[in-house]
Amino acid sequence: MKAIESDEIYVALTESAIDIQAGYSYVNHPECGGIASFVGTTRSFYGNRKVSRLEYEAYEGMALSEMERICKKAKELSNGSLYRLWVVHRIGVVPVQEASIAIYASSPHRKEALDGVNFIIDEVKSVVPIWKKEFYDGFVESSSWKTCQRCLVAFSNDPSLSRTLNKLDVTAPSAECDNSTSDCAEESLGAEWKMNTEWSRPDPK
Amino acid sequence: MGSIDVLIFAKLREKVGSNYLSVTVGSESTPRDEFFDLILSQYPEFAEIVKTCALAVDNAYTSADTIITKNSEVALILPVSGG
Repeated sequence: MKAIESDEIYVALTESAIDIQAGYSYVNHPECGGIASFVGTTRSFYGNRKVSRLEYEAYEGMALSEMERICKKAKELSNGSLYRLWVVHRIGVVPVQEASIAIYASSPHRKEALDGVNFIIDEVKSVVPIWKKEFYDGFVESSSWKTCQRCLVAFSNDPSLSRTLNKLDVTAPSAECDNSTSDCAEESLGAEWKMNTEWSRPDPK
Repeated sequence: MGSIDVLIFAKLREKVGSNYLSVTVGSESTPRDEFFDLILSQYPEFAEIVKTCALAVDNAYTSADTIITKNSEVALILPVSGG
């Protein structure tokens, strides 16, 4: 377990099962009438493939600092309405039905808590350097690193990443692309490569 | 003169078979875009996937004015899939 705690924000990465109750306890506050949460769990199917397990890998230091930054931003956006925030992401193997991420937020009223959780999960999926590998039943050697579609959109919308994007020419996934099959994610990456061929490589002198 | 180890993860780490790419630099400090080009030119076999990455320095995403020195912790960030 690696964690950062400051200003009523707790973020952590853990290699064991997430202690959901700990999140509830952390954010519970006498001045708060609302606690909202989101728990992401491993699904048994992805498209038409049966998922046996997921494996998460993190760039730990940056993942923690990005999670903390996102929580600070959520508090800032809430104008002080969010009291306590708790975000824990599991790393390593996550079996089907177990939690990969849990988010808790407390606020005097429910709306801010619900909005806060929604903001945090969206941001985590967009920028926090954590990668998921899915393993499928029946394809022992077959597994693929997934690309979050929101992430591709975030990359394309973030001016600070423009250099990369100039090379990538990333565009948002097409409307037809609902990422409902693993082939879809692969196709998105393939499409990026095709656009990249317009970029001219530096002279390797 | 010298080299800087660039941390790599997930699919890129598996492709390379290592946790880092050692990048030879020609000066004490290198602008981000120039550094990105150094990676591409020194590792053409991984260029396709490297081009899908963002460059992070000292645990934060970079902008074009980020300067990389020997003391920087540099990482290639593939499109993420956490959550």
